[in-house]
Amino acid sequence: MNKYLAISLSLFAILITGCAKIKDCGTDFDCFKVNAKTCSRAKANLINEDNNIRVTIRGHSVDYCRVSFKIENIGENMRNKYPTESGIAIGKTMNCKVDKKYSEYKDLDYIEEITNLPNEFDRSCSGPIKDLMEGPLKEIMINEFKSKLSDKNIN
Amino acid sequence: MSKGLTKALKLEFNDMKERKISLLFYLLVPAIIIWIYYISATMTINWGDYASLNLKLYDLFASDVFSIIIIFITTQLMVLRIVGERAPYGTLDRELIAISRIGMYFGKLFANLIFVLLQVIIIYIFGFIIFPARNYGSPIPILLFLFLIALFGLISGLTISIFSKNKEQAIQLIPFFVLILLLFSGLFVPLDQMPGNIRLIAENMPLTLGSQSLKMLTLDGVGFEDVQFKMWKLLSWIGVITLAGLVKFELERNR
Repeated sequence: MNKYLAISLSLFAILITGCAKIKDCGTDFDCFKVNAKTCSRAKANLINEDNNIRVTIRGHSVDYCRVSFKIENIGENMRNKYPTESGIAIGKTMNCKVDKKYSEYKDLDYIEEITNLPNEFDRSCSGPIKDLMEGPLKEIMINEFKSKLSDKNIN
Repeated sequence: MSKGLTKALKLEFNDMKERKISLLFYLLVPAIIIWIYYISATMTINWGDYASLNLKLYDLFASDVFSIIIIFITTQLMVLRIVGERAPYGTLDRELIAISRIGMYFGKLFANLIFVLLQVIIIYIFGFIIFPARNYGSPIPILLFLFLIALFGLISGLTISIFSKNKEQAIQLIPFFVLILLLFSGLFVPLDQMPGNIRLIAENMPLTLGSQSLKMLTLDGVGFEDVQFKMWKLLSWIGVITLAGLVKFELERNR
């Protein structure tokens, strides 16, 4: 019986530590890109004008790579421009699925797919941010998101 | 692990078999409460951090209500496990001849943990599938937190049982214990409206840690990494209360 208890406790510990193990790249986007190539669990913060979006790659699941976005902070400018929406959006996330077929091509990585996600919201993403974007916020957020992610950090 | 753990587990399983109607009641009650809450809390929320998400009252407070249900039931489940079996009417002293106190403690805990695991799954099925509360999170972290809240409830119930002098005292302590946790949970007074020091205490209370984590997982859709610090705090509470119960139970041997 003690053996079974030890196994159960070990499984519990593995579950807890396994869930938590995500490489933190901080603001080092090169580190994030290396992990993104293989859809390995990693996270990075994209900071621009005090807007802070955390992108997390959560690994493969069935036939897609799971990527999530969390709005950690919204800069002063945006907050002044959209005070109510900013208050609601902080701390919220969006979880997206990137098609696994691209991982079969060695020269391609998920970065390109991640930057194209705003065009694929309806099909690939879910979460409170997506639901917030159903309203007039949609255009604003997509444009802000896309420009910051592609222009500043990737190219 | 400790002397007589297997024996203690068997004893507890036998006891659970005898209490099967009462245990069945504990399993069904959460489902009934969730159903009542689901049909009554239908108002749409248009204020606070979750405005514009078209949430119902049921969605907004689901994590609080589920946590409270679990705490109430698990503490109740355990509160008589030691004090109810003490002399002159109980068999605890006789059982402790062959089983160490630590073995007895963990025997009771592990046996009930299996029942509680089942209960957590039932609450998840009723709360997020049959009467679906809004959920952007994945099931494993949610189940893990429901389970940790249940574990905290079990250990608290067992510790109250050890500290109580008689059944009446144990039963009296449960509502006070749960009500204090409830008042600090942010359900009645929002955490950000509490005065600084009180807020600090409230944010670190076990029920608050559990229900706030569940809310972040389900409504904010955050990943496990965003709530793991709260999980460690909750595990620390579980550790401290376990230790307090075990020390008191061990000290009784020398009386």
